[in-house]
Amino acid sequence: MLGAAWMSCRTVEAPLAKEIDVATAPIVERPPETWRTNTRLVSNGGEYALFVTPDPRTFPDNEAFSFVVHICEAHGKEPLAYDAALSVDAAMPQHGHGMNRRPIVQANADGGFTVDGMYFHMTGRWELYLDVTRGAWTERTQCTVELADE
Amino acid sequence: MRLLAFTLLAVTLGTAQESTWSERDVARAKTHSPLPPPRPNATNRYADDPRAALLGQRLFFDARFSANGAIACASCHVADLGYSDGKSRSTGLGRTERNSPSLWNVAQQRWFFWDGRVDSLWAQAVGPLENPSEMGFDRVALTRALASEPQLAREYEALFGKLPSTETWPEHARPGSADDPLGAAWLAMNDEDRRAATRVAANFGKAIEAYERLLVRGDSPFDRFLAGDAAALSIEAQRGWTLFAGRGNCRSCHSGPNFSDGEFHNLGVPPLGGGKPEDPARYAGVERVLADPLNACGEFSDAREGVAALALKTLERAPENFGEYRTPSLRNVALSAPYMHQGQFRTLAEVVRFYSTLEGATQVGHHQEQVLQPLQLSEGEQRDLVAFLESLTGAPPASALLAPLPDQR
Repeated sequence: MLGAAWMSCRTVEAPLAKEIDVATAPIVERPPETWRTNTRLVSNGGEYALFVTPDPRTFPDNEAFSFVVHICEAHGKEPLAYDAALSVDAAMPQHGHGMNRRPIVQANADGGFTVDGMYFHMTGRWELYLDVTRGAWTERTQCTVELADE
Repeated sequence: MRLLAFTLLAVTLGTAQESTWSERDVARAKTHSPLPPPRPNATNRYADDPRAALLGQRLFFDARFSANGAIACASCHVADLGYSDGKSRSTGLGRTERNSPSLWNVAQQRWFFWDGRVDSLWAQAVGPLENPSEMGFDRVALTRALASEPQLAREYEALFGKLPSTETWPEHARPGSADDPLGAAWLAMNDEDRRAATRVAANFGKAIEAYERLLVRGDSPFDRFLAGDAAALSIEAQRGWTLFAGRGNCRSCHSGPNFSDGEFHNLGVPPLGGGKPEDPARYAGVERVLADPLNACGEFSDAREGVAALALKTLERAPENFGEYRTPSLRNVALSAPYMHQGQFRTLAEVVRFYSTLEGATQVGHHQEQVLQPLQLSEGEQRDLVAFLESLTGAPPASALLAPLPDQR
């Protein structure tokens, strides 16, 4: 059932439809969407469901880390939003500063995004910002990460 | 709950004296101890090579690598002065604008200088070598000096390969403005010669880094207390830790085994001469490290795609970086007075008093750390906090490491 949603999503994308001859394209085995069981965040406007791996509650203190995000439509069977772009930032509202790094976001073949170069250099309350842009519209997804100091 | 905490402590720490710590105090303390060995530095393939460390020790104490032949790295980093120099602002050929940072456990750091303008210890060592206010030397003269001393040349070439020929090079040259004679001479050199001279400077730094990585001083009373020696920490120091970890909120920045988050913060410490802070500090440091030819991504790095390179690729300059300085380690802090980036405070008691009142603190726009609030500590609490900081002084390594090599004396 999920496979149908995935195919549907791929075939309705105009730019891809132009580039891929569906009749002759090789059949690609779709990897199982195991990420759907991971942490699910809903964007502030309710447009998107974001699956984040690993759980942001496990993000480390004062150590570089990476995570993976899959952006889905927050309706129906929540198909992947293939034409969405992602940018990531984080801040410590109580301290008036953010990270000292600008993370690198790269799109993966399975429709997800790998976010590298994250660095929470202090314990305390961090706000993670996941901004999804589609066309002219950007919608923010927010998540509070409390980095405990024991 | 409190009784339970004491029982656990008795098991963990022994019962030589009653501890003032809660279970949480112990758990927090353990995030600072023991001090692990420095992380490997892949950008310097000689970082843990004993031959490089020996050469580095020789270079560190050698004053010939200065414009007046009288200033060595060891001039501003004195073992008996906490590997600092005891001055507010260090002086070489001229007076610098910053306090000389301690070198104890320096290899634990991620960024170097108070503004983090370089990203490795080897790149750091080249800075003072050529700074006109410090050693005032240059990489062309360095190449000649190494070649002219048989033992140095032999040790250098055994590690790094043959020194380049300097026959066609100017007498002195280093990167700089065309208005400076040495900068103009540098610009007149061809690219191949400039790269060869820079390679020698980078290798000079890599040997010094190998030596400085050995300047480890852990095993403090604080560490010994956590390892089970209940008599290692006075009651005053124990109370000081509770303040440090609790109401003081000091661990926000002074975190981890090196008591530093390795990053940059603005405390609002007023400039030494008074007035408004004009030093951009980390704001300029970010720009400089990204442009530094000796950084982790540059051609002289031995790991251009590694962890340090990723840190650079993701590094971002933010407005709040203006006036931010690197969080110094608190290990061995009692040895390296005066304190702060310009040595504004003569004693640890003055530092603690500043945090207690924030009297005289300046604010750069609205960028100051909002988390910084006056701690309003009593006189006794201030003494306890100082006692705790003094308990972070570790056992020194073998004295032979802290002096010139026997054939240099």
